[in-house]
This record gives sequence, structure tokens and C-alpha cells, in this order.
Amino acid sequence: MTITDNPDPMRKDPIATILSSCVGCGLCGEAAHAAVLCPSFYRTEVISNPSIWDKLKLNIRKSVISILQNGIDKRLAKIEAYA
Amino acid sequence: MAIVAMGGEGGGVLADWAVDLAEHKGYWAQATSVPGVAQRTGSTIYYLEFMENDGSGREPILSTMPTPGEVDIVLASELMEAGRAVFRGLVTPDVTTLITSTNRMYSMQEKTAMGDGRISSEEIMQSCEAASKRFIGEDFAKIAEESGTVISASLFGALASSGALPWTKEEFAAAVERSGVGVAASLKAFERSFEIAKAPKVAKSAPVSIEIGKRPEEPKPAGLTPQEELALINDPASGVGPALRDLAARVKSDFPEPVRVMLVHGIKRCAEYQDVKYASHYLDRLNRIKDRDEAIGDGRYRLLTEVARYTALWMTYEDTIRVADLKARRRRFDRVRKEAKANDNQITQVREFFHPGVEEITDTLPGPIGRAILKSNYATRIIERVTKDGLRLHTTSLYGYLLLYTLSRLRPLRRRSLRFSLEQNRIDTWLDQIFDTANEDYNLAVEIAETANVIKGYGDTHKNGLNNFNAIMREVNLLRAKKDSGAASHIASLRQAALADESGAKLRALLSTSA
Repeated sequence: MTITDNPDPMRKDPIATILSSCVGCGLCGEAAHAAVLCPSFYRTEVISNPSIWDKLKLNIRKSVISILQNGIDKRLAKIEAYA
Repeated sequence: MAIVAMGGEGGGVLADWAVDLAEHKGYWAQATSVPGVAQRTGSTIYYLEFMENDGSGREPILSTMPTPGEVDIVLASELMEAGRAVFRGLVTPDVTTLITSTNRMYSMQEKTAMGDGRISSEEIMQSCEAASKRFIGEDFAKIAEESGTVISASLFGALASSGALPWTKEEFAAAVERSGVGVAASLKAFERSFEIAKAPKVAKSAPVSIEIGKRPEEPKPAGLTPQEELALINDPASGVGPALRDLAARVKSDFPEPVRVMLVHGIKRCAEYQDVKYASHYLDRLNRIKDRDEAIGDGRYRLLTEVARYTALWMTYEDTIRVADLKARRRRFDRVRKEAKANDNQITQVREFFHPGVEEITDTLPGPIGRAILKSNYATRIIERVTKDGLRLHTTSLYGYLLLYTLSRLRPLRRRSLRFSLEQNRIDTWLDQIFDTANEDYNLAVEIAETANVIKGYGDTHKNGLNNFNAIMREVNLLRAKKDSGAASHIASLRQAALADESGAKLRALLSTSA
């Protein structure tokens, strides 16, 4: 874990970031979670060779989540300009 | 030749290649090493000595440690390591060729600073250049990463290119091939670095500028290019969506050019956070500051710019609703999936870490309810027990996502929430102070604006930040009463102290001496 420039155009201080050499031990996330430091941490699991049941779950989830995300994007499109 | 690197960077391999090359050419070669562990905690140093074989059969006695003033070549895998080599005296202007990568691995001190504690790469580069006979500084780490190997290969290429050793490029490459490990990728990095490090041998002229090799690129700050900024200044409406057209027109008609980019960011942020009315309120708040700056400022609008920045950041304080909104977005899902490098046949599942405390919950509830809960010991203790271990939410599942989505849609409740009224009062008090101080001391007013930067984070971090802020504001009042002319710089140093450590000890020390 190291620091890098802030992608937020209004902020000046650097932000924490994870380098590509990360091995996914999860310690930084656990520490930040225990100390209530930052809600940005997440754990990603990648499922290879999904079963039929996995794929079914995925399809149901994707259809519902997509609809809801469309709503969010519609709201954002009114505010932001996509250059 | 000294090779300074960090653990895991192939320093040993680089040393082996060099020794192999030297011995192949008939030289005596010796290498010693002090190994390290990975990352910043383990700096390594490899020291090599080569001596031409005079054919007499007598073995020379070679040194096992570098002697300051007698090191011909220093290879460094990172800029700070190069700086340390200079500091230790290994780099001297009469003999040393210094080849370094210009990337930085930040030290713990730089990483744990609460503000921006990064040491300027410029300064390190300047001292490296001044201390060496010949300096080659490029981003060799990037070349290595792009070629799919570690930095040892690119440094070897740069070494070949520098001509510091009397052997040809082919002979260097042959040593890499003989090693037999990761040859293709290593040779790719070797070739590229060889080309980039090549430069006409220019005698050092003016002490400050770096003339050998391409000037290393500092990472561009995230944000807009000058052309994009100019476009926004001339036509703010081009940077916003249809809902903000009127406000963008207001930015153009009511506000001076130097601030317009910041204001466009500000109204977008406020509108996204709450609604267009909130963004309009944002501009309303800035009106009187603009009038004041116009009247007494020097035309650069420093005060208005910083007030515009920090007002927007403060008005969009991070709460549960905002965090949920950011995590529910499609673009975030896409980014996470891309980072995990999942291919089309793989499924990504994401678990988010939440840790709402009593305060996070009462903050989002309507004022009277929130206050009642905080006052009741019983309610507080129940909530604490339930939220003690935090929440790991599977946000790519239906249940998890619906929870997240519902939270993000609580936005209309925010205006009536406890924290909202608290924060708006704090913002208005702070703006009042800036407005009143601007007449007496413009620079002090700018410092008051900048002090809003100490309030950041969540939970305890936020609480401490707020305490520090209040302490600094009390100090401001004292200084204003005394009409102290050095007030602005004093407040600036108090702010640095507040961001220096978590406990606020440094700030407290400074405060007690000035009261």
C-alpha cells in the first residue's frame, strides 16, 4: 500500500492506493475496518468455471442490478457532461 | 560498482550478470551483498569490484565494502535510494557515474503524514546530479513493468549504454542470455533502457538543470489539461449536464475567470451529493466572499478559490448515504471487475467492508430522533453491541445490492438529518469568520479557509480533526484581538502541526506556547 496523487480535482492531498505487487493478504483492509478508518476497502472474489447454479444467480442479479444502475446513471447524466 | 536497491527487485540477479560478464571478459570479479526484505523496509546493497587479470596468476585482494570517494558506478533502483547513496558519500563528482530510476517508493514517513508529506523528487534529482560525475535518471521501473520483468534488466541496459564499463552492448546482452532465466522479457527491457539512456556526453554546465537523457516526467496531477480548463472558463456550461445549465450561466456571469474551474467542480459535486438547489445554495454562500475579494484582493482571487474549494468539500461531507451511492454505481462495479482482471467466463463477487458506528447511524436519522438516541445510554449501548464487528456486505448479491441502493436513495432524508444541520451551522460560522477577517488581514482569511483541510475522515479521525479545527479557530480569535501581523504564518504552522500526527500532540505543544 502506498500513496498516489488524488484523482479528485478539488483535493490536494495524496490518497492511499494498492500497488500491482499486492498479494491480497487482506491485512490492510482488516486494519482499516477494525479501526473504522475508511469505507473504501473491498474484497473481490473471482469464480472460475462457474456452475449452472452460479450462472443462474448471476443472471438474476445482473438483470435487477442493471435496472437500478440505469436509474443512477440517468440521474448522473443530468449533472455531469460526458465530454 | 555499488548497486542499491530494495528487496525483491532482482539486485542479486543484476550483480550476477555483471560478475558473469566481467569474468567472461577475463577480469577478476567479486560481489558482496547485504540483502533486505521486500518493500521499503529492506534496502539492499551489492558491492562489486572488477580487476583486469594481468596474467601473472596472482589473485588480487578486492574490497568487500564501498569506500566513499572511490566508487566508479552506482546503480540505484529508486530515487530515494540514489539520494541515500549520495548521502553516504558513495557518489562523488570526480569519479562516479550515477544511474538511477526516477520512480519513488514512498517511505513510511511520507505515507503516514495526514496531509501531503511527499518529499519533492526535484530536490533529490538536483542533489544526485550535483554529486555525480555523470548522471542518468529515467523511469526504468516503468520500462521494466511494461516489458514484463523486474528493474534489474532495465538498469543493466542503462549500464551498457552509459559506457562506464569497457564492453559492448552485445557482450552485456550475452550475459543476460547465459543466465537463462526470463531472458526474453529481460532483453526487451534491456533494449529499451539502452536506447533511452543513450545521450550525447554533455559536460555539466549550469548546476541545476539535468541535461543527460530525457527529462523524467513527473506524474501529471489528475485533473484537466490547460486547454480543457480554458474551455471551462469560457463556457462553464460545457462542463455540466442539462440540469446545471442555469447555474453554469451564473458561474460565468457572476464570478471572475480565475475561479470558474473550481466553481464548476463545486456545483457538480453539490448537485451530485444532494440536488441542484444545494448547488445553488453553494453559489449563494460564495457571493459575499466574491464581493470582498473583488474589493480588496489583488485580482488573483486566492481567497475566493480556496473558499470555493473547501466550502464544496465541507458541504459534501462524507456520510453513509454518499458512500452507499458511490459503491452502487455501475462504473465502480466495472472498475472493480477490471482490476480483478476477470475474463468473460469468470464471475466477480465483491464484499464491501462497512463499519457504521452509533454516530454514523444517528447522523443520518432526523434531528430529534438522532439526538434522542445519543442522549439515551441504553439505545447507544444496544447499537454499539450490534455494530461492534462491522458489516461485510456482499454487494453483488441481490440482498446486498438492494440494501446499498436503498441507503443511497435516502438522500431526501439528509436535509432533515442531525448531522446536516450541525455541518451547515459550522460552515456558516467559518464563512462568517473569513468574511470578517478578510478586511483586516487578507492572508489570515486565506489561512482560515485552508484550515478546513484538517477536518477529514470518518469516526474518530473526523472527531479529532474537528477538535483541532476548533482549537485553531480559537487561536485565530486571539490573534485577531491582538492584531498580530504574523498571524497568517502562525496559523499556517498550526495547521501543519495538526496534520503532522494523529494524536494532535504537536498542535497542542504549539498552542500552549502562544496563548
